[in-house]
Amino acid sequence: MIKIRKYFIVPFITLLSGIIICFKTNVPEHTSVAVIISNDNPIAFKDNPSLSAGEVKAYYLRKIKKRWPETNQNILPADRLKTCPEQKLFYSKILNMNANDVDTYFIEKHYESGEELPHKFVSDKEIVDFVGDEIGAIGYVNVNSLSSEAKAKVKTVLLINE
Amino acid sequence: MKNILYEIIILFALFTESIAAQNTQIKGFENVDASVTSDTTTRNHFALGQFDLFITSQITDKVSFLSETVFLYYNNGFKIGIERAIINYHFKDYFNLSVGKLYSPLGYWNNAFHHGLVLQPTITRPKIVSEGTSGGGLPLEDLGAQLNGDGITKINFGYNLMIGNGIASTPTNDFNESKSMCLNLHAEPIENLKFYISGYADNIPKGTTTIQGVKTTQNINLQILNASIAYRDGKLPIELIGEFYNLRTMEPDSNNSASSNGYFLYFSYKIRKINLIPYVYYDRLLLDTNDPLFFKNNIASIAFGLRYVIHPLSAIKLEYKYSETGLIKYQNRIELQFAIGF
Repeated sequence: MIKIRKYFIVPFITLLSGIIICFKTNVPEHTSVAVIISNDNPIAFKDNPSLSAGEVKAYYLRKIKKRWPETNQNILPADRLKTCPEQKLFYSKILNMNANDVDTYFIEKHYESGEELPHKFVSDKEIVDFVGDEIGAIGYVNVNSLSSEAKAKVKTVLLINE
Repeated sequence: MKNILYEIIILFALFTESIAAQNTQIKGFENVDASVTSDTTTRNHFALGQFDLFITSQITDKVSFLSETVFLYYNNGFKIGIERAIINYHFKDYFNLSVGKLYSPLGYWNNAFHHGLVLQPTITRPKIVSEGTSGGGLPLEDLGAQLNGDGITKINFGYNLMIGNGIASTPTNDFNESKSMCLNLHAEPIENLKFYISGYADNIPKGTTTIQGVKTTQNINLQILNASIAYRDGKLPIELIGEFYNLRTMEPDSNNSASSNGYFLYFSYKIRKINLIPYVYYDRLLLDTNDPLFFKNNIASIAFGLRYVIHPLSAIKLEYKYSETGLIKYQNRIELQFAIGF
Protein backbone atom coordinates (compact mmCIF):
# COMPACT_ATOMS: atom_id res chain seq x y z
CA MET A 1 0.00 0.00 0.00
CA ILE A 2 2.84 2.32 0.95
CA LYS A 3 4.66 1.47 -2.29
CA ILE A 4 1.54 2.25 -4.35
CA ARG A 5 1.18 5.62 -2.61
CA LYS A 6 4.80 6.46 -3.39
CA TYR A 7 4.31 5.50 -7.02
CA PHE A 8 1.30 7.79 -7.23
CA ILE A 9 2.55 10.68 -5.12
CA VAL A 10 5.77 11.30 -7.04
CA PRO A 11 4.18 11.56 -10.53
CA PHE A 12 1.21 13.45 -9.06
CA ILE A 13 3.44 16.13 -7.51
CA THR A 14 5.52 16.35 -10.70
CA LEU A 15 2.36 16.71 -12.81
CA LEU A 16 0.90 19.30 -10.44
CA SER A 17 4.08 21.40 -10.41
CA GLY A 18 4.20 21.17 -14.21
CA ILE A 19 0.62 22.42 -14.49
CA ILE A 20 1.32 25.27 -12.03
CA ILE A 21 4.46 26.32 -13.95
CA CYS A 22 2.61 26.19 -17.28
CA PHE A 23 -0.34 28.09 -15.85
CA LYS A 24 1.90 30.74 -14.32
CA THR A 25 3.85 31.29 -17.52
CA ASN A 26 0.63 31.51 -19.56
CA VAL A 27 -0.83 34.27 -17.41
CA PRO A 28 -0.05 37.54 -19.18
CA GLU A 29 1.74 40.09 -17.05
CA HIS A 30 0.04 43.46 -16.76
CA THR A 31 1.56 45.91 -19.17
CA SER A 32 2.39 49.40 -17.98
CA VAL A 33 3.40 51.95 -20.53
CA ALA A 34 5.29 55.18 -20.01
CA VAL A 35 4.86 58.07 -22.44
CA ILE A 36 8.26 59.68 -22.76
CA ILE A 37 9.82 62.87 -24.10
CA SER A 38 13.39 64.11 -24.14
CA ASN A 39 14.87 65.37 -20.88
CA ASP A 40 15.74 68.55 -22.78
CA ASN A 41 12.08 69.24 -23.60
CA PRO A 42 10.97 71.74 -20.95
CA ILE A 43 7.26 70.95 -21.23
CA ALA A 44 7.34 68.67 -18.19
CA PHE A 45 9.58 68.49 -15.14
CA LYS A 46 11.75 65.43 -14.79
CA ASP A 47 9.80 62.34 -13.71
CA ASN A 48 6.70 64.38 -13.09
CA PRO A 49 3.80 62.89 -15.01
CA SER A 50 2.49 66.28 -15.92
CA LEU A 51 0.59 65.72 -19.15
CA SER A 52 -3.00 64.52 -19.24
CA ALA A 53 -4.14 61.73 -21.58
CA GLY A 54 -5.90 64.35 -23.72
CA GLU A 55 -2.74 66.45 -24.00
CA VAL A 56 -0.63 63.41 -24.93
CA LYS A 57 -3.18 62.52 -27.63
CA ALA A 58 -3.19 66.07 -29.03
CA TYR A 59 0.63 66.23 -29.12
CA TYR A 60 1.17 62.71 -30.46
CA LEU A 61 -1.37 63.14 -33.25
CA ARG A 62 -0.09 66.70 -33.87
CA LYS A 63 -3.75 67.54 -33.71
CA ILE A 64 -3.90 71.09 -32.44
CA LYS A 65 -0.20 71.76 -31.93
CA LYS A 66 2.32 70.71 -34.53
CA ARG A 67 5.19 72.28 -32.59
CA TRP A 68 6.00 72.17 -28.87
CA PRO A 69 4.83 75.46 -27.36
CA GLU A 70 7.94 76.02 -25.21
CA THR A 71 10.66 75.22 -27.75
CA ASN A 72 8.81 75.73 -31.08
CA GLN A 73 10.32 72.40 -32.20
CA ASN A 74 8.51 70.09 -34.59
CA ILE A 75 6.61 67.37 -32.68
CA LEU A 76 7.99 63.99 -33.80
CA PRO A 77 5.84 61.01 -32.77
CA ALA A 78 7.72 57.72 -32.30
CA ASP A 79 5.87 54.44 -32.78
CA ARG A 80 6.53 50.68 -32.77
CA LEU A 81 6.98 49.10 -36.20
CA LYS A 82 4.94 46.01 -35.39
CA THR A 83 1.94 45.41 -33.18
CA CYS A 84 2.92 44.82 -29.53
CA PRO A 85 1.08 44.99 -26.17
CA GLU A 86 2.52 48.48 -25.50
CA GLN A 87 1.20 49.79 -28.83
CA LYS A 88 -2.23 48.22 -28.28
CA LEU A 89 -2.48 49.80 -24.83
CA PHE A 90 -1.30 53.23 -26.03
CA TYR A 91 -3.63 53.26 -29.05
CA SER A 92 -6.70 52.07 -27.14
CA LYS A 93 -6.28 54.02 -23.89
CA ILE A 94 -4.80 57.29 -25.16
CA LEU A 95 -5.59 57.66 -28.86
CA ASN A 96 -8.91 55.77 -28.70
CA MET A 97 -8.19 54.43 -32.18
CA ASN A 98 -7.28 51.07 -33.70
CA ALA A 99 -4.04 50.49 -35.64
CA ASN A 100 -5.71 50.97 -39.05
CA ASP A 101 -7.29 54.27 -38.00
CA VAL A 102 -3.95 55.56 -36.65
CA ASP A 103 -2.14 54.67 -39.91
CA THR A 104 -4.90 56.20 -42.02
CA TYR A 105 -4.89 59.38 -39.94
CA PHE A 106 -1.15 59.96 -40.37
CA ILE A 107 -1.10 58.96 -44.06
CA GLU A 108 -3.89 61.44 -44.85
CA LYS A 109 -2.06 64.25 -43.05
CA HIS A 110 1.15 63.30 -44.83
CA TYR A 111 -0.60 63.45 -48.21
CA GLU A 112 -2.46 66.68 -47.47
CA SER A 113 0.37 68.81 -46.20
CA GLY A 114 3.56 66.73 -46.30
CA GLU A 115 3.68 66.29 -42.52
CA GLU A 116 6.23 63.68 -41.49
CA LEU A 117 4.94 60.18 -40.77
CA PRO A 118 5.69 58.79 -37.28
CA HIS A 119 9.20 57.38 -36.89
CA LYS A 120 8.85 53.62 -36.38
CA PHE A 121 11.15 51.39 -34.33
CA VAL A 122 11.47 47.70 -33.60
CA SER A 123 12.26 47.96 -29.88
CA ASP A 124 11.77 50.09 -26.78
CA LYS A 125 15.54 50.73 -26.68
CA GLU A 126 15.44 52.31 -30.14
CA ILE A 127 12.51 54.51 -29.10
CA VAL A 128 14.36 55.61 -25.95
CA ASP A 129 17.47 56.45 -28.01
CA PHE A 130 15.45 58.39 -30.60
CA VAL A 131 13.39 60.33 -28.04
CA GLY A 132 16.56 61.04 -26.02
CA ASP A 133 18.32 62.45 -29.09
CA GLU A 134 15.41 64.44 -30.56
CA ILE A 135 14.13 67.27 -28.38
CA GLY A 136 10.82 67.30 -30.30
CA ALA A 137 10.12 63.56 -30.06
CA ILE A 138 7.34 61.86 -28.09
CA GLY A 139 7.04 58.08 -27.75
CA TYR A 140 5.85 55.27 -25.53
CA VAL A 141 7.71 52.32 -23.99
CA ASN A 142 7.13 49.59 -21.44
CA VAL A 143 7.97 50.99 -17.99
CA ASN A 144 10.38 48.08 -17.48
CA SER A 145 12.49 49.46 -20.34
CA LEU A 146 13.22 52.64 -18.40
CA SER A 147 16.58 51.74 -16.92
CA SER A 148 18.67 54.34 -15.12
CA GLU A 149 20.59 54.78 -18.38
CA ALA A 150 17.32 55.47 -20.20
CA LYS A 151 16.15 57.87 -17.50
CA ALA A 152 19.29 59.91 -18.08
CA LYS A 153 17.94 60.67 -21.60
CA VAL A 154 14.15 60.73 -21.30
CA LYS A 155 11.45 61.62 -18.83
CA THR A 156 8.01 60.16 -18.27
CA VAL A 157 5.08 62.47 -18.82
CA LEU A 158 2.26 59.96 -18.41
CA LEU A 159 1.88 56.44 -17.05
CA ILE A 160 -0.72 54.12 -18.57
CA ASN A 161 -1.78 50.99 -16.72
CA GLU A 162 -3.74 48.15 -18.22
CA MET B 1 40.70 56.80 -63.03
CA LYS B 2 40.98 55.27 -59.56
CA ASN B 3 40.83 58.76 -58.01
CA ILE B 4 37.69 59.63 -59.94
CA LEU B 5 36.10 56.38 -58.78
CA TYR B 6 36.96 57.17 -55.14
CA GLU B 7 35.57 60.69 -55.54
CA ILE B 8 32.33 59.33 -57.00
CA ILE B 9 32.02 56.84 -54.11
CA ILE B 10 32.67 59.57 -51.52
CA LEU B 11 30.22 61.95 -53.22
CA PHE B 12 27.58 59.22 -53.38
CA ALA B 13 28.11 58.42 -49.69
CA LEU B 14 27.80 62.12 -48.77
CA PHE B 15 24.73 62.50 -50.97
CA THR B 16 22.91 59.49 -49.48
CA GLU B 17 23.87 60.60 -45.97
CA SER B 18 22.47 64.08 -46.59
CA ILE B 19 19.25 62.56 -47.95
CA ALA B 20 18.95 60.44 -44.81
CA ALA B 21 19.55 63.49 -42.61
CA GLN B 22 16.85 65.38 -44.50
CA ASN B 23 14.39 62.51 -44.13
CA THR B 24 13.30 62.43 -47.77
CA GLN B 25 10.45 60.05 -48.54
CA ILE B 26 9.46 58.90 -51.99
CA LYS B 27 5.99 57.44 -52.26
CA GLY B 28 3.49 56.77 -55.00
CA PHE B 29 -0.14 56.11 -55.76
CA GLU B 30 -1.81 54.16 -58.52
CA ASN B 31 -5.22 52.73 -59.34
CA VAL B 32 -6.77 50.43 -61.92
CA ASP B 33 -10.44 50.82 -62.76
CA ALA B 34 -13.02 48.78 -64.62
CA SER B 35 -16.36 50.22 -65.68
CA VAL B 36 -19.61 49.09 -67.22
CA THR B 37 -21.90 51.83 -68.52
CA SER B 38 -25.24 52.29 -70.21
CA ASP B 39 -23.81 55.18 -72.25
CA THR B 40 -23.64 53.98 -75.86
CA THR B 41 -20.83 56.43 -76.71
CA THR B 42 -18.48 54.70 -74.25
CA ARG B 43 -17.51 51.01 -74.26
CA ASN B 44 -17.16 48.94 -71.11
CA HIS B 45 -13.47 49.09 -70.33
CA PHE B 46 -10.50 48.79 -68.00
CA ALA B 47 -8.57 51.98 -67.29
CA LEU B 48 -5.18 52.79 -65.84
CA GLY B 49 -5.41 55.62 -63.32
CA GLN B 50 -2.98 58.44 -62.77
CA PHE B 51 0.47 57.37 -61.61
CA ASP B 52 1.26 59.78 -58.80
CA LEU B 53 4.85 60.23 -57.64
CA PHE B 54 4.77 61.85 -54.21
CA ILE B 55 7.97 63.15 -52.63
CA THR B 56 8.36 64.90 -49.29
CA SER B 57 11.47 66.09 -47.53
CA GLN B 58 11.97 67.52 -44.06
CA ILE B 59 15.05 69.57 -44.86
CA THR B 60 15.45 71.24 -41.46
CA ASP B 61 13.20 71.50 -38.42
CA LYS B 62 11.48 74.46 -40.09
CA VAL B 63 11.96 73.96 -43.83
CA SER B 64 10.17 71.20 -45.73
CA PHE B 65 9.36 70.35 -49.33
CA LEU B 66 6.51 68.48 -51.01
CA SER B 67 6.06 67.57 -54.65
CA GLU B 68 3.49 65.60 -56.56
CA THR B 69 4.12 64.62 -60.16
CA VAL B 70 1.40 62.89 -62.11
CA PHE B 71 1.78 60.73 -65.20
CA LEU B 72 -1.50 60.23 -67.04
CA TYR B 73 -2.80 59.23 -70.45
CA TYR B 74 -4.65 62.09 -72.09
CA ASN B 75 -5.21 63.17 -75.73
CA ASN B 76 -3.48 60.14 -77.28
CA GLY B 77 -0.34 60.22 -75.20
CA PHE B 78 1.14 60.02 -71.72
CA LYS B 79 1.46 63.47 -70.16
CA ILE B 80 3.49 64.54 -67.15
CA GLY B 81 2.16 67.22 -64.84
CA ILE B 82 3.68 68.78 -61.75
CA GLU B 83 0.56 69.08 -59.65
CA ARG B 84 2.25 70.40 -56.53
CA ALA B 85 5.74 71.68 -55.75
CA ILE B 86 5.74 73.43 -52.38
CA ILE B 87 8.49 74.86 -50.20
CA ASN B 88 7.27 75.40 -46.64
CA TYR B 89 8.75 77.51 -43.88
CA HIS B 90 7.23 76.81 -40.48
CA PHE B 91 7.50 79.81 -38.18
CA LYS B 92 4.88 78.88 -35.60
CA ASP B 93 1.75 76.73 -35.47
CA TYR B 94 -0.30 79.81 -36.28
CA PHE B 95 1.99 81.29 -38.91
CA ASN B 96 3.61 79.40 -41.79
CA LEU B 97 4.63 80.31 -45.31
CA SER B 98 4.28 78.08 -48.37
CA VAL B 99 5.46 79.04 -51.85
CA GLY B 100 5.15 77.19 -55.14
CA LYS B 101 2.36 75.36 -56.87
CA LEU B 102 -0.32 74.45 -54.35
CA TYR B 103 -3.87 73.16 -54.30
CA SER B 104 -6.09 76.23 -53.94
CA PRO B 105 -7.34 76.33 -50.34
CA LEU B 106 -10.96 76.04 -51.49
CA GLY B 107 -13.29 73.99 -49.30
CA TYR B 108 -12.33 70.62 -47.82
CA TRP B 109 -12.26 67.93 -50.54
CA ASN B 110 -9.82 69.71 -52.82
CA ASN B 111 -6.99 69.58 -50.31
CA ALA B 112 -7.86 66.38 -48.46
CA PHE B 113 -8.22 64.13 -51.55
CA HIS B 114 -6.68 64.68 -54.91
CA HIS B 115 -4.57 62.29 -56.95
CA GLY B 116 -3.90 59.56 -54.39
CA LEU B 117 -7.23 57.82 -54.93
CA VAL B 118 -6.64 55.20 -52.24
CA LEU B 119 -7.30 57.97 -49.74
CA GLN B 120 -10.38 59.29 -51.54
CA PRO B 121 -13.58 57.78 -50.13
CA THR B 122 -15.30 57.48 -53.53
CA ILE B 123 -14.19 56.33 -57.00
CA THR B 124 -15.08 59.55 -58.81
CA ARG B 125 -14.73 63.07 -57.49
CA PRO B 126 -17.80 65.26 -57.05
CA LYS B 127 -18.25 67.26 -60.28
CA ILE B 128 -17.67 70.72 -58.84
CA VAL B 129 -14.23 69.71 -57.50
CA SER B 130 -13.27 67.58 -60.54
CA GLU B 131 -10.40 68.40 -62.86
CA GLY B 132 -11.34 70.44 -65.94
CA THR B 133 -10.87 67.34 -68.12
CA SER B 134 -13.55 65.56 -66.05
CA GLY B 135 -16.10 68.35 -66.21
CA GLY B 136 -14.99 70.47 -63.25
CA GLY B 137 -14.29 74.15 -63.54
CA LEU B 138 -12.77 75.39 -60.31
CA PRO B 139 -9.18 76.66 -60.17
CA LEU B 140 -8.08 73.65 -58.09
CA GLU B 141 -4.38 74.58 -58.23
CA ASP B 142 -2.54 77.87 -58.27
CA LEU B 143 1.03 79.12 -58.28
CA GLY B 144 1.95 81.68 -55.65
CA ALA B 145 2.48 82.20 -51.94
CA GLN B 146 0.31 81.13 -49.05
CA LEU B 147 0.23 82.08 -45.38
CA ASN B 148 -1.44 79.54 -43.15
CA GLY B 149 -1.93 78.67 -39.52
CA ASP B 150 -3.79 76.19 -37.33
CA GLY B 151 -4.42 75.45 -33.69
CA ILE B 152 -5.59 78.96 -32.78
CA THR B 153 -7.69 78.85 -29.61
CA LYS B 154 -9.43 75.77 -28.30
CA ILE B 155 -11.73 75.51 -31.33
CA ASN B 156 -8.65 74.81 -33.49
CA PHE B 157 -9.28 77.83 -35.69
CA GLY B 158 -7.12 78.00 -38.80
CA TYR B 159 -6.67 80.02 -41.94
CA ASN B 160 -5.08 79.86 -45.41
CA LEU B 161 -4.51 83.03 -47.41
CA MET B 162 -3.13 82.55 -50.90
CA ILE B 163 -2.05 85.03 -53.54
CA GLY B 164 -1.39 83.46 -56.93
CA ASN B 165 -1.11 83.97 -60.64
CA GLY B 166 -4.67 82.80 -61.17
CA ILE B 167 -6.29 81.09 -64.14
CA ALA B 168 -4.61 83.16 -66.90
CA SER B 169 -1.09 81.88 -66.29
CA THR B 170 1.51 79.21 -66.91
CA PRO B 171 3.90 77.70 -64.33
CA THR B 172 6.45 80.36 -65.25
CA ASN B 173 4.37 83.40 -66.23
CA ASP B 174 1.21 85.39 -65.58
CA PHE B 175 -0.83 86.81 -68.47
CA ASN B 176 -2.25 89.74 -66.50
CA GLU B 177 -1.11 92.09 -63.76
CA SER B 178 -3.84 91.30 -61.27
CA LYS B 179 -3.36 88.35 -58.93
CA SER B 180 -5.84 85.79 -57.67
CA MET B 181 -6.74 85.76 -53.96
CA CYS B 182 -8.05 82.83 -51.98
CA LEU B 183 -8.97 82.76 -48.29
CA ASN B 184 -10.02 79.72 -46.29
CA LEU B 185 -11.16 79.96 -42.65
CA HIS B 186 -11.82 76.76 -40.73
CA ALA B 187 -12.49 75.54 -37.20
CA GLU B 188 -12.96 72.27 -35.33
CA PRO B 189 -15.19 73.17 -32.34
CA ILE B 190 -15.94 69.48 -31.66
CA GLU B 191 -13.20 66.88 -32.16
CA ASN B 192 -13.16 65.72 -35.81
CA LEU B 193 -16.10 67.95 -36.83
CA LYS B 194 -14.72 70.65 -39.12
CA PHE B 195 -16.36 73.70 -40.65
CA TYR B 196 -14.91 75.65 -43.59
CA ILE B 197 -15.76 78.84 -45.41
CA SER B 198 -13.62 79.97 -48.31
CA GLY B 199 -13.59 82.47 -51.14
CA TYR B 200 -11.64 83.08 -54.33
CA ALA B 201 -11.36 86.09 -56.65
CA ASP B 202 -9.55 86.44 -59.97
CA ASN B 203 -9.59 88.59 -63.08
CA ILE B 204 -9.48 86.58 -66.30
CA PRO B 205 -8.46 88.51 -69.42
CA LYS B 206 -10.08 88.08 -72.81
CA GLY B 207 -8.65 85.20 -74.83
CA THR B 208 -7.81 82.99 -71.82
CA THR B 209 -8.49 79.26 -72.04
CA THR B 210 -10.47 78.37 -68.90
CA ILE B 211 -10.15 75.23 -66.76
CA GLN B 212 -12.76 73.47 -68.96
CA GLY B 213 -11.05 74.60 -72.16
CA VAL B 214 -13.49 77.39 -73.07
CA LYS B 215 -11.82 80.43 -74.71
CA THR B 216 -13.07 83.63 -73.08
CA THR B 217 -14.37 86.32 -75.43
CA GLN B 218 -14.36 89.13 -72.84
CA ASN B 219 -12.57 90.15 -69.65
CA ILE B 220 -14.17 88.32 -66.70
CA ASN B 221 -14.17 88.95 -62.96
CA LEU B 222 -14.61 85.65 -61.14
CA GLN B 223 -15.71 85.20 -57.53
CA ILE B 224 -16.18 81.86 -55.79
CA LEU B 225 -17.78 81.38 -52.39
CA ASN B 226 -17.81 78.10 -50.51
CA ALA B 227 -19.08 76.54 -47.27
CA SER B 228 -18.13 73.00 -46.21
CA ILE B 229 -18.61 70.60 -43.33
CA ALA B 230 -16.65 67.40 -42.66
CA TYR B 231 -16.78 64.73 -39.95
CA ARG B 232 -14.16 61.99 -40.28
CA ASP B 233 -11.85 59.85 -38.08
CA GLY B 234 -14.11 60.35 -35.06
CA LYS B 235 -15.51 58.03 -32.42
CA LEU B 236 -18.79 57.66 -34.31
CA PRO B 237 -18.50 55.09 -37.13
CA ILE B 238 -19.71 57.57 -39.74
CA GLU B 239 -18.19 59.97 -42.26
CA LEU B 240 -19.97 63.07 -43.51
CA ILE B 241 -18.77 65.60 -46.06
CA GLY B 242 -20.92 68.36 -47.52
CA GLU B 243 -19.80 71.24 -49.69
CA PHE B 244 -21.53 74.10 -51.47
CA TYR B 245 -19.95 76.39 -54.08
CA ASN B 246 -21.29 79.50 -55.77
CA LEU B 247 -19.45 80.88 -58.80
CA ARG B 248 -20.21 84.44 -59.90
CA THR B 249 -18.84 85.92 -63.08
CA MET B 250 -19.05 89.51 -64.23
CA GLU B 251 -18.04 90.80 -67.65
CA PRO B 252 -17.30 94.50 -67.03
CA ASP B 253 -17.32 95.48 -70.71
CA SER B 254 -20.83 94.19 -71.38
CA ASN B 255 -22.22 94.13 -67.82
CA ASN B 256 -23.20 90.46 -68.30
CA SER B 257 -23.21 88.45 -65.14
CA ALA B 258 -23.86 84.83 -64.21
CA SER B 259 -24.23 82.79 -61.06
CA SER B 260 -23.68 79.01 -61.04
CA ASN B 261 -23.87 76.55 -58.15
CA GLY B 262 -22.33 73.19 -57.36
CA TYR B 263 -22.81 71.08 -54.27
CA PHE B 264 -22.48 67.52 -52.98
CA LEU B 265 -23.23 65.50 -49.88
CA TYR B 266 -21.32 62.33 -48.96
CA PHE B 267 -22.25 59.95 -46.14
CA SER B 268 -20.76 56.63 -45.10
CA TYR B 269 -20.98 54.11 -42.28
CA LYS B 270 -17.87 52.21 -41.17
CA ILE B 271 -18.31 48.52 -40.35
CA ARG B 272 -15.03 48.44 -38.45
CA LYS B 273 -14.86 44.71 -37.73
CA ILE B 274 -14.61 43.83 -41.42
CA ASN B 275 -13.14 47.13 -42.71
CA LEU B 276 -16.10 47.65 -45.03
CA ILE B 277 -17.54 51.10 -45.65
CA PRO B 278 -20.85 51.44 -47.50
CA TYR B 279 -21.38 54.99 -48.78
CA VAL B 280 -23.77 57.20 -50.69
CA TYR B 281 -23.26 60.60 -52.27
CA TYR B 282 -25.38 63.09 -54.13
CA ASP B 283 -23.76 65.48 -56.57
CA ARG B 284 -25.23 68.49 -58.37
CA LEU B 285 -23.92 71.09 -60.80
CA LEU B 286 -26.27 73.89 -61.86
CA LEU B 287 -24.79 76.19 -64.47
CA ASP B 288 -26.13 79.58 -65.42
CA THR B 289 -26.90 79.77 -69.15
CA ASN B 290 -24.74 82.93 -69.32
CA ASP B 291 -21.77 81.31 -67.55
CA PRO B 292 -18.71 82.02 -69.71
CA LEU B 293 -16.35 79.53 -68.02
CA PHE B 294 -18.10 76.19 -68.56
CA PHE B 295 -19.43 74.09 -71.38
CA LYS B 296 -23.11 74.06 -70.44
CA ASN B 297 -23.67 70.65 -68.92
CA ASN B 298 -25.83 70.52 -65.80
CA ILE B 299 -25.37 67.34 -63.82
CA ALA B 300 -27.33 65.55 -61.11
CA SER B 301 -26.09 62.19 -59.88
CA ILE B 302 -26.44 59.80 -57.00
CA ALA B 303 -23.93 57.07 -56.22
CA PHE B 304 -23.99 54.06 -53.92
CA GLY B 305 -20.71 52.37 -53.15
CA LEU B 306 -18.74 49.96 -51.02
CA ARG B 307 -15.16 50.56 -49.96
CA TYR B 308 -13.16 47.62 -48.62
CA VAL B 309 -10.04 48.82 -46.85
CA ILE B 310 -7.47 46.02 -46.97
CA HIS B 311 -4.85 48.34 -45.49
CA PRO B 312 -4.72 52.14 -45.11
CA LEU B 313 -2.79 52.14 -48.41
CA SER B 314 -4.80 49.51 -50.27
CA ALA B 315 -8.51 49.65 -51.00
CA ILE B 316 -11.08 48.15 -53.36
CA LYS B 317 -14.15 50.24 -54.21
CA LEU B 318 -17.32 49.27 -56.03
CA GLU B 319 -19.68 52.07 -57.07
CA TYR B 320 -22.99 52.34 -58.85
CA LYS B 321 -23.83 55.80 -60.16
CA TYR B 322 -26.96 57.16 -61.79
CA SER B 323 -26.45 60.49 -63.56
CA GLU B 324 -28.63 62.88 -65.48
CA THR B 325 -26.71 65.33 -67.61
CA GLY B 326 -27.49 68.00 -70.16
CA LEU B 327 -25.62 66.15 -72.88
CA ILE B 328 -26.52 62.46 -72.58
CA LYS B 329 -29.80 62.61 -70.63
CA TYR B 330 -29.17 59.75 -68.21
CA GLN B 331 -26.50 57.17 -67.53
CA ASN B 332 -26.09 54.09 -65.35
CA ARG B 333 -22.53 53.22 -64.50
CA ILE B 334 -20.91 50.52 -62.38
CA GLU B 335 -17.27 51.00 -61.58
CA LEU B 336 -14.70 48.91 -59.75
CA GLN B 337 -11.43 50.39 -58.52
CA PHE B 338 -8.34 48.87 -56.96
CA ALA B 339 -6.27 51.70 -55.52
CA ILE B 340 -2.96 51.50 -53.71
CA GLY B 341 -0.26 53.66 -52.19
CA PHE B 342 3.32 52.51 -51.77
